[in-house]
Amino acid sequence: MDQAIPMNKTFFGNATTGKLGMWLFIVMDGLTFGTIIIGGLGLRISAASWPVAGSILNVPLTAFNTFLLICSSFTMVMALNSIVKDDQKGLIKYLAFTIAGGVIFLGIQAWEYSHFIMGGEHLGNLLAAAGLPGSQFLPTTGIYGSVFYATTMFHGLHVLSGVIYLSVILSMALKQKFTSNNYDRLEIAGLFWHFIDLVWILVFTVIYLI
Amino acid sequence: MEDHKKTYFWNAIGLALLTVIEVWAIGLGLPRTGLVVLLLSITVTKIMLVALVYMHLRYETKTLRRLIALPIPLALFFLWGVMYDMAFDWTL
Repeated sequence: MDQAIPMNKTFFGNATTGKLGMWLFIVMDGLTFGTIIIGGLGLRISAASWPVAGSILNVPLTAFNTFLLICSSFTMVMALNSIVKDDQKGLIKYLAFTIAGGVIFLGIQAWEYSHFIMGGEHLGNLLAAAGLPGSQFLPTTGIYGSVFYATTMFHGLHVLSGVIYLSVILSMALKQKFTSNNYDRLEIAGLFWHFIDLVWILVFTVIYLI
Repeated sequence: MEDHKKTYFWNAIGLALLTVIEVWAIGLGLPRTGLVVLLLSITVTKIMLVALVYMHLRYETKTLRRLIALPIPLALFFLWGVMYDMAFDWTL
């Protein structure tokens, strides 16, 4: 059961059909992210003004979130490394750490959003200094707000999907469904999780730093 | 698959350090163009590290690597198209 089907070795090495399918999905999803980011850049160029990096958005907190995703990528690859050695406990431990990293990331993002949506005098002053109206930072707060929420929310939904996906993989790991000869599904899930990290690296730079 | 524990660990350290450099760089007061080039260079390096080491792309065949890289020129063409369009102020 669950035996992965290797593709033509000449072209794709030991990559299975499932793995190639995930790569195809990643390429397509990457193009969607690319469209959102490039569209955002286009809107930014046409905007009359754009807030300076760090003037509204919390860069240190988001840098911590970036660090968190990097750590979760490390734990994900360590989960794979564990099952290669038939270390079931290591697999479960690292998968749980990866999921926890994703949940904390989402928690911090939710906190950031709630801070912007609740608003306040301090946020209002920051927005006014950046030439934006109101005391709340919402998706309707000019092009800047639209670009920020569209990009980060699309990524956040990917993180949520990744957490659910990895939770299913964890439940399979708890039933000892993976062995050193059968870990294709784990590797495919790992590809998706690393892709989420990879995209965040770009989103962090484009939205928060530049 | 071999045991790459050390590689994975040092890759994570490298990624974390590059993130620290990025955050540190925005407070340096560098000229705008220089800062953007620096940040994008670091970002591309980080993306390559994740793709090659964590996604095991460096262990895949050339055919698969090329297939995955194929849409990048497409995205760059789209970027060029959007920037070209901006010059005419047709959008918004």
